[in-house]
Amino acid sequence: MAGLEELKQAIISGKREAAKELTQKALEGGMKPREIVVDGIAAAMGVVGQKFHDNEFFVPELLIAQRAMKEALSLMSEEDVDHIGTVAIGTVKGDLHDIGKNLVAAMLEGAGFKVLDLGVDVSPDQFVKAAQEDSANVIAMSALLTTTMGSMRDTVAALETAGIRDKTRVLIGGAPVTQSYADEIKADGYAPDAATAVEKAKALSPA
Amino acid sequence: MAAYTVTFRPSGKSASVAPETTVLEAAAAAGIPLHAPCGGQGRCGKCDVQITAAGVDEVSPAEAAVFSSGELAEGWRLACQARVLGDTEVTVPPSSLVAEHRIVVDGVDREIVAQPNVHKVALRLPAPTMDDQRADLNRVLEALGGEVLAPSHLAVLQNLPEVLRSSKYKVTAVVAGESLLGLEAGDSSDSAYGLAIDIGTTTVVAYLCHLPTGRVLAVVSELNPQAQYGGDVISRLQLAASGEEGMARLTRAAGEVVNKLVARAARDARVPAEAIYEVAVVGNTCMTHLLLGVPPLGLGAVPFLPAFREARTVRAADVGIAINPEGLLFVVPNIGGFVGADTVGVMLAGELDRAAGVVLAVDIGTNGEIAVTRDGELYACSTAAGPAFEGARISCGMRAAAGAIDELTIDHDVHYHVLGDAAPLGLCGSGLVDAVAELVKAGVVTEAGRMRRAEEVSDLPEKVKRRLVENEEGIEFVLAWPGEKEGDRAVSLTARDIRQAQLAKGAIYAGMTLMLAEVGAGPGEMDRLLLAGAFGNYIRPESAIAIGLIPAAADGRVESVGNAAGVGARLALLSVAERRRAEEIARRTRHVKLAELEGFYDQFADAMILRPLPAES
Repeated sequence: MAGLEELKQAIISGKREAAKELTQKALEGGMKPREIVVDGIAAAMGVVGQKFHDNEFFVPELLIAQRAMKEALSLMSEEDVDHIGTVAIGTVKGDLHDIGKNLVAAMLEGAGFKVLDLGVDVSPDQFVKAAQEDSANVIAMSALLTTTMGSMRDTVAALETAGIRDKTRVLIGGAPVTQSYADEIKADGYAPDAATAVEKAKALSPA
Repeated sequence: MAAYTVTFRPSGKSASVAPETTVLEAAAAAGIPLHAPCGGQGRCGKCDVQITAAGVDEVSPAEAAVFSSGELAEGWRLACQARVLGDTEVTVPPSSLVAEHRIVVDGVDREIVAQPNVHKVALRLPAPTMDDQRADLNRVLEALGGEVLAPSHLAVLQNLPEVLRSSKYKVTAVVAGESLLGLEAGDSSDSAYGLAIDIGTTTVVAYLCHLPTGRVLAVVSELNPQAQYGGDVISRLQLAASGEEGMARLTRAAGEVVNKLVARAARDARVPAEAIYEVAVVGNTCMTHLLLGVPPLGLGAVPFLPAFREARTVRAADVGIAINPEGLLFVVPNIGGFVGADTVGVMLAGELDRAAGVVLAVDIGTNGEIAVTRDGELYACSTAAGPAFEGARISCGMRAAAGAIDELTIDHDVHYHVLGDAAPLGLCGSGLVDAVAELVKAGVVTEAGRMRRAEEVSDLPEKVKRRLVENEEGIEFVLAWPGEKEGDRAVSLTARDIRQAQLAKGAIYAGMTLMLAEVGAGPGEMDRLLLAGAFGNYIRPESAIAIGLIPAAADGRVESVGNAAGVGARLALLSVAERRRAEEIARRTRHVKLAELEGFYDQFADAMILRPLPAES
């Protein structure tokens, strides 16, 4: 486990090259990919999320940790990782803001989720398609423009029309989004930051 | 053929002319520009001169209709009617001379010729007689040379007959382009004022100008009252989209603040509001739409489209603006998306359309617009930096008004300067930049933006250390202790404030890097950087470089141009040529959508660190 401590630190401090090298070393040393992901990468992102929550880390630290994490993950193949769920995430129709959404996607990936990043300006139909065709069990939506939040309501309705609302969990977030809005549109969860988003996504996924 | 010499006083210039040449023609030959709006037809009375020696023909009927017998006895004639029959001497009164007013526009080192859209022409019209039975309106329009059309607004015509008669045909016409805006009694031609306004998301500033000379007589500013409906453009757009009621509230608030500024400026300059004939407006796209009552429905979501782009001229009364009842409102054109009239104003003021080399203009305000030019190519973007540099979202932030700390240094203690030499009430943009720079330099804040705890900074001077205070909300650094008066509060910078400043400056720095890349330049190839900001905001370049708000390579190339958008509004108010230039700038400038650029995400992350940038690799 000692080797993973160094990997954790490399990811937390955003050292891309080191993260990749240490992951490589661990794999060559015979460590199981699953172990590296859970005890190394996911653990590191958990620490990052907590520090952000505590005001010790800010957006830049999250972004550089995310880049280091991606380097580490790039050495894993799909089958190596036992995903704990599949999340289709995107910024809603009419909105282009994606920094927050990208952070949540990174944290989810680090936590062991399979993440389908649908990008920005994502229509309700695109979310429904991801749930149907790509087996996403969680739809995560982000909006920064209050003028575009209504698309979240539309997506919940679209899931109902497609008959898959009961199989798909809806998680929402973004600066103007609130718990009461989530209650209003009958979403399954609201997260005010990336760390909470991971917690909620885990709670909403099959054990 | 005989030639006669006509000598003009007081200049002493003279011309040699053939017999029967009019004095007006002789003046032109001598290089003396006389007013002649009616084209020398003897219809306006503006080219009056005094003949002080013999040598001209007899008084014509047109002149007899304009001058009293006493004046005629003194030698007063109309230069366009008097013909030279011998050597003569002519005295030209200043009122008959066409004077080119050169205006020096402060802040940007520009000089323009005053040719405002609205101008007043004093007329001495011949009274009606049996031989001159022209209708009242025709009498006036012909005196103006036939290029001014009949007024479209009935009120002008309704007032006209009375004004003509009560003033005995000595009147002043108010003209805007081809329109007759009004007719006033006597010679009120000097009483012509205009207001240039910069409607910012957070701060609104107005400049009252004397139209013929361009002199600024009053500068007033107010917080934008739309802020009660949301501090940023997006929340106001949402309200506007929510229905008629929301839109009405926003438009009413815009009109109210403009009228407040009109009243204050008029009072400060001791000028009646009715003597203000035009308001020229700059602002971001959302602001100009709301002022005009045009719903900005397309601006709230991708692809962020305005309802109109080109310049607009409307009757001020139609928008509820209380200046002269026939007064006009001119809105400078937009570029696209949120990059609006204010950016055009900055580019016009900084003359980016004619600049040599690589020139960047940055507006450190809520929307953080950046314009760049290279070899005639023009680009502009909005970084949506947020209002931190205008004082909003900072716990003790305020705009640059009396009581604002605008400069700050830290050595063994904190030293600051307060605007208006008042007791410190808060921190304005330039003070914020200084404070962040000095706190990082002193080691109180890390480059990553974390405010250190008291126990981590034990080696700092005593007076600095004790300013780090921790309470249930977090850590803060006290910049100014509470005063002695009851109710005085401390002015502090909290850990969260530092984060807000990081976000704002990161967005601006990233925007600058990407815009330079759009023209294929690196920070080192930037020839000039124009730093513009909200009224009163003069950010110190050294501090801006220290925290990585602007590139380190900008050292020595920064020009603080103050409220350049406001300067642009003044230029549009005072010169129709500048208006045409603004239209061209708006048309030529390509709108860059930063968020869609590859690498914006990474640039933004890298730009949040509080140190000179770009970082040495």
